[in-house]
Amino acid sequence: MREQQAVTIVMIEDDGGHALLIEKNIRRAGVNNRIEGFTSGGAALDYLLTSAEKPDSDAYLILLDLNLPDVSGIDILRKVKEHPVLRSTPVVVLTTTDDKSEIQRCYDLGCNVYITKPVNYENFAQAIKQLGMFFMVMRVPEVAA
Amino acid sequence: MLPAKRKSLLQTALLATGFGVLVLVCLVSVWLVREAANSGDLVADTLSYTADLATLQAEVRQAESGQRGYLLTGEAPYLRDYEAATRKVGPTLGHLRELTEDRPRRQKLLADLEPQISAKMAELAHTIDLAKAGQRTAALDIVNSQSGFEIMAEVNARIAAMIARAEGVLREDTDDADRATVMLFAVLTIGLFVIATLAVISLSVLRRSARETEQAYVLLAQANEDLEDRIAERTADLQEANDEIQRFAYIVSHDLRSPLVNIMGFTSELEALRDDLMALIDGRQAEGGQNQGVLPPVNETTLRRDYNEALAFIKSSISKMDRLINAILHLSRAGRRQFTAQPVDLNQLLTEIAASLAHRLQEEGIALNVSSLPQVTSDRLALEQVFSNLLDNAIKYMRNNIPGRIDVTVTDTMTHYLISVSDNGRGIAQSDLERIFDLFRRAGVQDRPGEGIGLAHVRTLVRRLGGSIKVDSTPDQGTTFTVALPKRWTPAR
Repeated sequence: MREQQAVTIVMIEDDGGHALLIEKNIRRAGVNNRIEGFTSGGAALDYLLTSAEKPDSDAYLILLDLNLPDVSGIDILRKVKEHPVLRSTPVVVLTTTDDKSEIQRCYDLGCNVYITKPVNYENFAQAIKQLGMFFMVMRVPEVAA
Repeated sequence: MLPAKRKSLLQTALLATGFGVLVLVCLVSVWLVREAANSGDLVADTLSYTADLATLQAEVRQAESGQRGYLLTGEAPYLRDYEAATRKVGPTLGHLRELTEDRPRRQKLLADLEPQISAKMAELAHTIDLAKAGQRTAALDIVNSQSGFEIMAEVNARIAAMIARAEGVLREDTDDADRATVMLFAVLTIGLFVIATLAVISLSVLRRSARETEQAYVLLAQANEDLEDRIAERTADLQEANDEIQRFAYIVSHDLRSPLVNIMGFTSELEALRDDLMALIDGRQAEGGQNQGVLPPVNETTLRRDYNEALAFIKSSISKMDRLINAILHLSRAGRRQFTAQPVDLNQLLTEIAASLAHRLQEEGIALNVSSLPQVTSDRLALEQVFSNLLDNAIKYMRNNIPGRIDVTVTDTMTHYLISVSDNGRGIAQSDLERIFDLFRRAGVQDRPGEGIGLAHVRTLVRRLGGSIKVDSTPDQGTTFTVALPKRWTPAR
């Protein structure tokens, strides 16, 4: 997201506290992009799908927690990667589980990065900051709607 | 059906008897054959004996006729005949003596005969000598006298008697031999018959034994199959329970970890804020003095906001963890409470629950119809919790725009009652039908209060009551939960 591309970070995280901590640390890494937070998978999907229809939509980067109460995060990942327009959106899975089969599944479904949220906050903050720095250098594809 | 030990004893007895009979038959046969051989020998001896006696007689007669001829004619051929016959008498007697060596009676008879023979031969020799010496008349005189004739008659009589006696013995011996043969035949036949009978009995015993063994095998195979089926059933049950525990552990570990991340995170934030706060305080204190501009001024508003925010999150996270742990304890306790089986009138139960929900039903404009429900034997409190929860959910997840309707109906199967709670609410997506029973999980639009505990609890309760629960739903049309309860349930299993 060099030169501050018009990339909106869609954060799908049901826990308000987590969402805030992630936002704080991303900002501390120097990322100034707009962050849209959603606490339910359903709402996030609606938002993404309607945006994908629009001709002039932003490029997106999705931060996805798998542990959503209403829909399975895996389902959201699958739906995004099966959508003709949204499939090119980078998806960063950021979740508490470090189960190997789960990680494999996410990658099989097409997630771009899988990060395990550390319980230890320092590591957590560090990881988010590094993610932020990663965001600073990565390029996100233009949305071809 | 004889017990195995008795059976094998019987079989051994049969075999032993058969073998014994066989051995007996053999021995008897051997004995009889020897007897027959013996008799045969005796017969042969006797025949030889009689033949020799006849030969002896003939030889003496031949000598006599030679003598007569010579005496009458004086011709040499008659002399030759006489001499030839005389020469043969000795050896024949010798042979007879051999034959009678082990027959004392015969020996005696022979011993009595021999002097007569000798006398006769001596008489003949005498006359011949006389005739050879030219005294034919003297010789003829001797012949004419009866002495020679008497001796010959004596000899004939004795020989005839001896032959007759021998023939009698011969008949006896032959009879003996015949009898022996007949007995042999009889023994062989009887023996064969007995062995055949024993063999048949043994065979039938074996056959029956084999049939019984086969039956036992079939039963065993069947029992095995049944066992395998039951094991498969139990294993499936265990597997299901195990899977549920795994899911439970997974969910619990996640849902408890989440607030923890918050607590730790915002504690760290507070630490960072503390430094800023200290700076602010120092700045304030130095306001009156000269120490201005040493530290950059801290934005007081942001500080206040961040501080409150951090505290709020910490507190809410703590209470969330508390709620979650309570829910888990509640669930576990429900799993451990002692259930009792009593007759429960479901009609009455549902009426009571409906009464407690009456206010909400009226408020939401929901119609609740409960059809005639049967009586079951089960735990009353558990059933109350199950149906309260199902009705509560039905009320909670109605559609906003149409009058709500909940129906409670029952179906009767042989062993179970299937009680359905149907609503015309917002429905549940197909992919969520299993999820909703998981702890702390919910589905659909999240606009209603709840922890996502209810259905997990309901399932645990229903399971403990020996039943099962399943759900059917069409999104935007309605949902039906069906609880299968055994008609008569007992807690001990």
